[in-house]
Amino acid sequence: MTGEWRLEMNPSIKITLIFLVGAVVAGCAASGYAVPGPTPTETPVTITVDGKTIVLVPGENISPEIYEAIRSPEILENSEWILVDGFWDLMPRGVNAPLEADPPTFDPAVPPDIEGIESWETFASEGSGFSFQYPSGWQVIMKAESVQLVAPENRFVVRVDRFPNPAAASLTVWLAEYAPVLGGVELLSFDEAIQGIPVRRQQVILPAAEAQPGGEHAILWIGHMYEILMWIGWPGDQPETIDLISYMASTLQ
Amino acid sequence: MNPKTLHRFFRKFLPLLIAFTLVAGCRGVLELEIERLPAEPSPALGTIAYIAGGDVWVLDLDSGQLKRITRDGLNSRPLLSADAGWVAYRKGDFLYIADVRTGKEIRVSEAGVSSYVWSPEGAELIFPAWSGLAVWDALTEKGRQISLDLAAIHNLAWRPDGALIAFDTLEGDIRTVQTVSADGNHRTEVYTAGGMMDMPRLAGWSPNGEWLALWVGSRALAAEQDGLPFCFASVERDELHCTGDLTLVRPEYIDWSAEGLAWIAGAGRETWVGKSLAILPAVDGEPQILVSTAEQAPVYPAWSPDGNQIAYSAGPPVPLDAAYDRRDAALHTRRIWVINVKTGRRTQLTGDSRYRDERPVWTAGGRYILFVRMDDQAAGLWLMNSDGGDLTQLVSEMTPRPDPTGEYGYIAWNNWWHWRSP
Repeated sequence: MTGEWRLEMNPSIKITLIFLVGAVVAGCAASGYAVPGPTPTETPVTITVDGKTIVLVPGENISPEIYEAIRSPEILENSEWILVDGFWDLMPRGVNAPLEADPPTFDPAVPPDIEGIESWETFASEGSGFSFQYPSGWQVIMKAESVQLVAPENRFVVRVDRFPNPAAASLTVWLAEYAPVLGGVELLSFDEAIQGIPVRRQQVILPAAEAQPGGEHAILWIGHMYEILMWIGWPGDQPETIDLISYMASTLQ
Repeated sequence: MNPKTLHRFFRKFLPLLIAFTLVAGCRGVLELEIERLPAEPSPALGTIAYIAGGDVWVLDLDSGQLKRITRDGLNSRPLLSADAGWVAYRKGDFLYIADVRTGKEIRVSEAGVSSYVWSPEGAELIFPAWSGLAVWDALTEKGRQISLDLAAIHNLAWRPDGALIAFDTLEGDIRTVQTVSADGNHRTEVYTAGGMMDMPRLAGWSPNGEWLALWVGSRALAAEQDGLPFCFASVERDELHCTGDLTLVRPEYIDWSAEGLAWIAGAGRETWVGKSLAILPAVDGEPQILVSTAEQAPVYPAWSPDGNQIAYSAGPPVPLDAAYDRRDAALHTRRIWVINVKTGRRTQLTGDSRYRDERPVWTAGGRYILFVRMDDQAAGLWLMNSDGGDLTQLVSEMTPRPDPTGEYGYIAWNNWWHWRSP
């Protein structure tokens, strides 16, 4: 049922109300409180698809995560817009949806043959509780909850982030229940196994951040004892990066 | 009266005439004896061996006789012989047997033993020993040795006809499944792993003795915890079929009858998440899902003796993203169900909110179902009609009390009890 309506009010009440509102505003000004006013409006983000201009409104026609991610110029440069279930989403340029995983070419028993990587050595630290193989000559940066490995001239960057898994939950359950929000745009996600151990692979476009170059990243999740490890490799659009993190994860002990 | 009429008269009344003559001969007393037809014998319920206070107890369900076998509180995993006359069990790591009638206890292993099985007939107990198998005859109290020159033997299974013993073994880095004849004279490799990624673990024999069920996959513990492909290897031919689904390496989640194999399918170590009840009528057939992951979280399937129904325990389906939030509630609400295999109709048999009900087994030809009940205080054994009526507690306590969480919701009940059908 619809209809017009208005509030009838006695003139004396109107005057009283105006007085009270004025008193509150004056009181706030004197005490330093700001009267809540309308939130300053941001410049609406618009996109152009097939010659049409579309205003993006988070929660209405774009998810808040994607809306946040498109602040990164790397993401926008490498992506195209597609409409999925009424929401605008990003896809990498030159790829037709749906994305399909390439069959794995990686043999975990053999180190990948990557130009510039001649030998491998073992990363081990008392605090981390695990060890794995990584290319000799790479810079190792230890942090409380991660290990970063950087190839000469920043050709590759691999980071291992550690997340607690006190119940030793299976990877699938842990990711469903506790996985951190990475932000960015997920291009691909699928489950497979390395040496029979379940892993989840992802390709994600991430904005640049501290200890993280922007652009496409290859991610591999794997469970290890009472932790879940996220191997994140850059540049993620190169097959060598995927082979690198796969081999390093397969040597995890 | 003409002769024809006379003949008709005698034919009609001759029996009466004879009867009167007999009565007269008996001086007017006719004794009739009514013989009552023998009532259909009630199928026997069998015998249970269980652990209470760390000791072995044996309960004859038909006579109600209860016997305490041990008194040191150090025992686990009771296993009754085919005629329930002997019970084998672990005392610490060592293997013992006891005569159920006399209580006489004998230590039969010189080293720790983790796998042991009784012969389908008679009372021969086999277990790995001396780089081979040891066979202990409880009747003669004598042992013999089957030399195999294998250091590590696991997962023994005696073929239903008693002719062959299957096991898996690790030689170097390669695991194989083999069979050996009961007399030890013939040995065959049924399945040999090609590498680290297809290591077998023996699950058991098909009822017809033609197939061995095995899990085949990575040797990595993390892989095994989340399930491995489930396969069938022919004993006679070089033939292997796999279901394609990952299945948890839990022997009690498999039940094989003449009607086919029933098992709990689904990857992931959490037994209350993403599991289904499937059947496979033939090893090279297509699996059929009876209870899907969206409907329930089933565990411990058991075929009824007539092959028409499967009893199982199940909790509600739990979504992945609430797995650990709802774990305790999901485990506590496990109830006993039966499903009609042909119609797919499910019936809930237990529903007492104070208990968690698990591991049903059919007894007395399918007339009753025996199962485990747990509450906050204890785990016990109960019996009910196969329609869920007449619930009776048989064993009030199985202790040391199992951890309700178990291994991701799985409790290896064979460590606490074993039931032997008559």
